[in-house]
Amino acid sequence: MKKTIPLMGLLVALAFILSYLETFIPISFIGIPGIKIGLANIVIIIAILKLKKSDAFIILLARIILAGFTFGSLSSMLYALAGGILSFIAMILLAKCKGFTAIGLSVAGGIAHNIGQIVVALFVLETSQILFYLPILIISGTIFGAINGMIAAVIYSRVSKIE
Amino acid sequence: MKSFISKKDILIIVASLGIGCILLITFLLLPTKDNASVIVTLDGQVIKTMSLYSNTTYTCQNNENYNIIVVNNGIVNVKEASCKNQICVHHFPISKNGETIVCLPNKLVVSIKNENGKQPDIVI
Repeated sequence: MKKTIPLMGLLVALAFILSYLETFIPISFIGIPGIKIGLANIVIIIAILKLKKSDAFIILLARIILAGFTFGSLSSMLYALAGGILSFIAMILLAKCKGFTAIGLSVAGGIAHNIGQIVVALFVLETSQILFYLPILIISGTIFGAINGMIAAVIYSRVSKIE
Repeated sequence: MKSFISKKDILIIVASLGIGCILLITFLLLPTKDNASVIVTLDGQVIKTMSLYSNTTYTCQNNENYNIIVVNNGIVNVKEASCKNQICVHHFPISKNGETIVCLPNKLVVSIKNENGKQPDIVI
């Protein structure tokens, strides 16, 4: 059991670096805000599949807080927390039902993440106009979720043989 | 050897893409009337309303934060802004009923609405 703490630290660092790399990808040239690739979610998916759910949640929180303080702002952390927690709930719900693989988890997580961020924006901006972004974010959440899920599935199939 | 993808996964992907596309097409098909106006809200309060077909440049100033909104020939975009991420400046220009440009750091929302249009509005 004591082996998991260094492993969790490693995963937090990995998720953190993936978040950092994402800040270099100029996805904003698409012209639609809120579209994220969500590479750090790959780590969370593998953590959910391999570790205890509570450990995976700790990794998620640690990554959001660290990344938020390092290259984000407090308000960006609010959006990241909302999206991250909602996506985590969606993913563990699917993990409990049988018949879903890493790809399904990742797609659900991606969509839930975007919905969480829109909900926070609804409260911050106090106008429902932002719902205009919902269809685009659902589609991009699905596409990037599927891509991340495939990466996670490949990594998980190698990693699950260890330990 | 487990397979990488299962039927339920494909179901989620197809369903989500389907819902997303249906919503998107619905929004795109909404008509934009001739009396459509551009509504600018700051922090939830409407601070400026202009006709979509007027040619105006409006600077929204809030302490040190500003956004410069340009309405020209039925097309609205944010020319310049004080926010760090500049997402509102890079945003694609909007021209249809329901479309919106948002600057989250400055809490600014620029949207196009038909006058007396039936907008799905939520009272929050």
